Amino acid sequence: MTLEYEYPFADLTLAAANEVAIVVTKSRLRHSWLENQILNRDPVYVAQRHRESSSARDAFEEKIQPGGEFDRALDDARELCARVVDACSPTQLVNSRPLAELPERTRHAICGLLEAIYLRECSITEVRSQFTAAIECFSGALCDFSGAWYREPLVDPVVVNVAFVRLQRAGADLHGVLGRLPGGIILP
Amino acid sequence: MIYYHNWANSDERTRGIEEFFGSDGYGFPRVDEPWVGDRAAEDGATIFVHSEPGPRIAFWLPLAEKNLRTNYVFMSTEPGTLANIETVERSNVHVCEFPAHQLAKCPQIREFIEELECGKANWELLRRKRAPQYLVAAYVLLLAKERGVIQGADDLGALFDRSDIWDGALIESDGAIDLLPKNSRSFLEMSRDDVQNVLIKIKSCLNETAYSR
Repeated sequence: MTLEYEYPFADLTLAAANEVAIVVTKSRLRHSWLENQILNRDPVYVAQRHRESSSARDAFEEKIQPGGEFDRALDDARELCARVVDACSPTQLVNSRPLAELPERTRHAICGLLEAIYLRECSITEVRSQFTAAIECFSGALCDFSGAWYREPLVDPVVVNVAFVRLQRAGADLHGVLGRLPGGIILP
Repeated sequence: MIYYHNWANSDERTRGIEEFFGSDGYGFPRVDEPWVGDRAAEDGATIFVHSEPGPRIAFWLPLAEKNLRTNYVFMSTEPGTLANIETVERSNVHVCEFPAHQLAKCPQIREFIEELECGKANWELLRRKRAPQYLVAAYVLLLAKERGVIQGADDLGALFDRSDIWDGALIESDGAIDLLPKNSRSFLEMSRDDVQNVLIKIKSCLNETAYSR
């Protein structure tokens, strides 16, 4: 084999580099955050931790507190949502070789054509709307859950359990929407 | 089920592997050599193997020969060192051509894992492949011609005298699209029907790539 390994994407175009960013962020949010930290947690176990003083409880609180890990993951999801339309746009292809060598006015005309077809036929804005709704739904469920968790005096474990189940439902919806996001540039 | 073996967790590279497959990443169960030696994984399982360089890899090959229903994906921070594994002709032995410590940056591998979790093993995704840039460029040019954006040589500018796009597209389609124009002149002379036929064929050809997902 005669392959270059120091930087695996050295031969990819700018367009492909955007794809890398989308897929990596999407996978990280789906697997490392939603699946590993929310969907696969047992609500009964979470409710039990609520009344205990333990390192597991402290670690969990670091995730759910305002500005904590879950909030930061939500910020990443919002950022991905904000740029998903541009990141998946086929107009990037025109700026990559060999099409980048076309005359400027031709590239401009092709970009306009691709953009119009992309926005009209590829449902990308619909996907973005679903993504936005799922993020905000999850954000609300997280707010409710942390409200129940931090309420004084301490609430019944059943309340924490129910709030976490709701958070998991919202998380499952967000997980599903993330799974439906394009893996990269859409060719109309 | 997906497992992984990481022979060490002592430096930046091996820690990167751990972060990708372990509890901070996908959360797959880690297996160590005695575990695998004593108990074969269940049928259909896949084990990503980052073995100690040198003779330790030899430990895994007999295992792979013994457990034919388990898939072994060998990986390395320097995949060139796995050249000997590449010569092993076993349907359950595979080589990941991407550097093991950089898999987090590799969409193909994430796609491979996501598909594997759904029960589909697309071993080709373990192989490095270039984006089919000429095929994509040909598609865009044909689409632009079909919609009247490209009408003459002036619209193609410096690309008019080059046949590399069309030659490259033919190669990237494995020769499957015989209606592709031979050069930019024949591209400009194509009928609307031919253009539409080729567009459909290229789209079909790109179905397995990132550009159609």
